[in-house]
Amino acid sequence: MLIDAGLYRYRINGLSLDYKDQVRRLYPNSCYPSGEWADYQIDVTCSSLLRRYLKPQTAINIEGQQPFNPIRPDKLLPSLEWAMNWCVAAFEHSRLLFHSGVVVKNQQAILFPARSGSGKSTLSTYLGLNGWQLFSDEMAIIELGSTRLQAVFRPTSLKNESISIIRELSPNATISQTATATHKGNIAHVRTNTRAQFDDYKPTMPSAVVFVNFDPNAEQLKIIELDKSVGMSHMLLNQFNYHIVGEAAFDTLVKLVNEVRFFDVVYRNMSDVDEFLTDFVEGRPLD
Amino acid sequence: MINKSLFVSLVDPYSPSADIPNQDLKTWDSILRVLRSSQLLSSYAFNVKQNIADIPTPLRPHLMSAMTFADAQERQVRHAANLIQMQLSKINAPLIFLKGTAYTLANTTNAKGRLFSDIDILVHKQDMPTIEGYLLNNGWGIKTLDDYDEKYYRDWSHELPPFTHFETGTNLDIHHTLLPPISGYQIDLKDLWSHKVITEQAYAVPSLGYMILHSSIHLLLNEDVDKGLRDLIDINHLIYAYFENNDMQSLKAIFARSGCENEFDLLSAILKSLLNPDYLNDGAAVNPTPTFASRMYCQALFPDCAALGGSSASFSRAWVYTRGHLKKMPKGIFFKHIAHKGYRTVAKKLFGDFIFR
Repeated sequence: MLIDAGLYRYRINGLSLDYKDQVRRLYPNSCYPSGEWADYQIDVTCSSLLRRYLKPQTAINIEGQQPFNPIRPDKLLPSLEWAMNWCVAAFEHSRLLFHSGVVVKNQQAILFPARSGSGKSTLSTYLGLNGWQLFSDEMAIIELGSTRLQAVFRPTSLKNESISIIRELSPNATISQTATATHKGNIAHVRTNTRAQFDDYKPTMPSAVVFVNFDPNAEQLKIIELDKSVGMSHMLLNQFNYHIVGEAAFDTLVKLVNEVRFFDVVYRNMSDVDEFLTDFVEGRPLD
Repeated sequence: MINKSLFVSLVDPYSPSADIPNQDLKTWDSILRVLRSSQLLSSYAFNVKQNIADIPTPLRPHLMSAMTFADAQERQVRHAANLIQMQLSKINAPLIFLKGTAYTLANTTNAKGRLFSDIDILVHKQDMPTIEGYLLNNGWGIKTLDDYDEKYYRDWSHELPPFTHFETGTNLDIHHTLLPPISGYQIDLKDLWSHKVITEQAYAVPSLGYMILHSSIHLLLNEDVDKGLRDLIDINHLIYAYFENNDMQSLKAIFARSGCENEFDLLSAILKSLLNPDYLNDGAAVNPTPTFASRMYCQALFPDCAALGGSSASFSRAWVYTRGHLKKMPKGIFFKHIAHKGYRTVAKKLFGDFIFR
C-alpha cells in the first residue's frame, strides 16, 4: 500500500490485511492501494523459511538494507513507524534534521530537541490534542536557508505509562493497539489531527527551542532562559545530518539560533507548559 | 519493473544510450529503487548533474540528497587519508591507498559519488607489527574478534583485523598484498610498488593498471558480488582512462605478471556482455566470447531487487559464492572454513539473518 505522509510518500509491501486496517486508522484519508511513485519503499517479509512455521519473525527491508532486528509479527506497527523515520534520517539530506518534537501556534514553531525517553513525544502529543498544530513528535525538518519548519502527517509514538496518561487526558483520541515488550517497552501510536487540518499547515518560522524535563516532584513550572551558545550546543547533541549537510547546515543553524529564544523547562503538568508556550507565542509577558 | 539493460545504460556513462531516458514516473520509481539498492544513486546523480532539469521533479531531491551524502563522505575520506598518512610517516612506514580511497585521492572519473565504507591501504608486510602497535597507541582500536576470526585474519588472510578510529569512527583495513597468500596467487608487489603514482596532494595510489587489477580481483575472487555492478562500472571507467596512454596488451601483461590471465579473460567476457565497450569492439586486440563463468557473473552481480526482477539469480549467486571461496583458499582450508562458516550460513537460512546478532 502507499502512505501519503505529506512531505514523503512511502510504499509498504507485505502487510497483512489486519495491519493494513491499523495503518489506515493511523493515516486517515492518506492510504492508497498502490501508486506510481514513492520516495521510500519498505518491504515487510518473513525473515526465513523455517520461521514461517516456527516462532514466526518479520523482517523489514528498506531499499537493500535491514537496519533493524526482525521482530514478532505482533510488534510490527512500532517497527514500521521506526522504519519510516529511518528512511528520512538515512536518505534525506536536502533539509536539516534534528531529533526533536515540533508544535506550532500563532504561526510560530516551538522545537523540543531531545533524545528518546525525555518525554518530548508525550508533551508533543498532548499539545497536538490541545489546540496546537503538531508538525512532528520525532523530527524537526528544517528548510535550508529559510529555517522554516516542515510538517509531516504521521502519528506520534507513546511509550509505557505515557499511553495511559494520554488516554486519560484525551479519551476520544485515536490510539492504536499497544505493542507490548518491544525493545523500547510498550508502544502505542496516536493520531492527533485530521488530514484536512494537516493540509492547512504551512511551513513555519521557529520562535523558541525548549529543552523539556519531566519531573514528577516539581512543585511548579521552572523556566530558565539559556543563552544562544548553550542553546546551540545542546541542539547539536540532537542533530541527525548536520555533519552530512555541512556548510549549508552550519549557515542554517546559525540563522535559526539568532531567530529563536532558548529555554530549559522543568514541569510536572503538561498544561503548565501549554500555558507558558501559549503566552510566549501570543506575545504576552513571561513571568 | 525495469530491465537490466536499461539499468546498465543508466549507470554506465560510456553507454551509447546514456542519455536521460524519457520514461513515465512509474519507471522512474523502479529506477530509484534499483539505484538505491545497488548503492549507485549518488554516482548516477553526479553523472546527470548537468541535466538535472530533465529528471522528473519527485526524483530530484533524492539525487540532491545522495550527492550531499557522497560529498560528506569525500570530506571524511580526505580527512582520514591525511591523518593516516601523517601517522604512518612518523614511523617511516610507506603506504599506498587502495580502492575507493585511491579513486577519491586520484580523482579518477568514477570517484564522484562512489560510496564505500572502509579505507584500505597497502603496506609492506615487515612493517605490519610496527604499524599495528603504533595505531593501537594513537587513537585506533581493533574490534575484539572471536578466536576463529582472529586466526582467519592472522594466518590465512592478507590483512590485519579492521581498525576503527575512536574519534571519527573511520574504519581502516591494512593489507600487505591484494589477495590472501594461501590463495596461491602471487601478486607482483614489487611491480605494484614501483609503479605507484603520487597525487598532487602527495598521496600514493596504485597506477591505473593496478587499480584495474585490484578491482577485478575484488570482483572475480570474492564471495559476495551483489554490489558487483559497481565494481564493473569502476573497472570500465579505469580502463578508458588507462587506454589514453596504454593498450590492451600492456593491461593483459599486468594481469599476467600476477598470474591472473584467466581473470583477465573472464573480466573481458563480462565487460563485453554487459557494457559492450568500444575497446572490445571492431578490430579490438581482444575479442572475448561468453563462457559459463562469465554468464554466471553477468546474472549474479545485479542487486537482489524486486524492481529488477527479484531473486531469479540465486543459482548463479551460489555458484559465484563457492567459486570465490575456492579460488582464494586451498581446498583443505576451504572445507574447514566452510564447515565453520557453513553452519552459520545454514542457521541463518533457517532462522533468519539475525540469529547471531
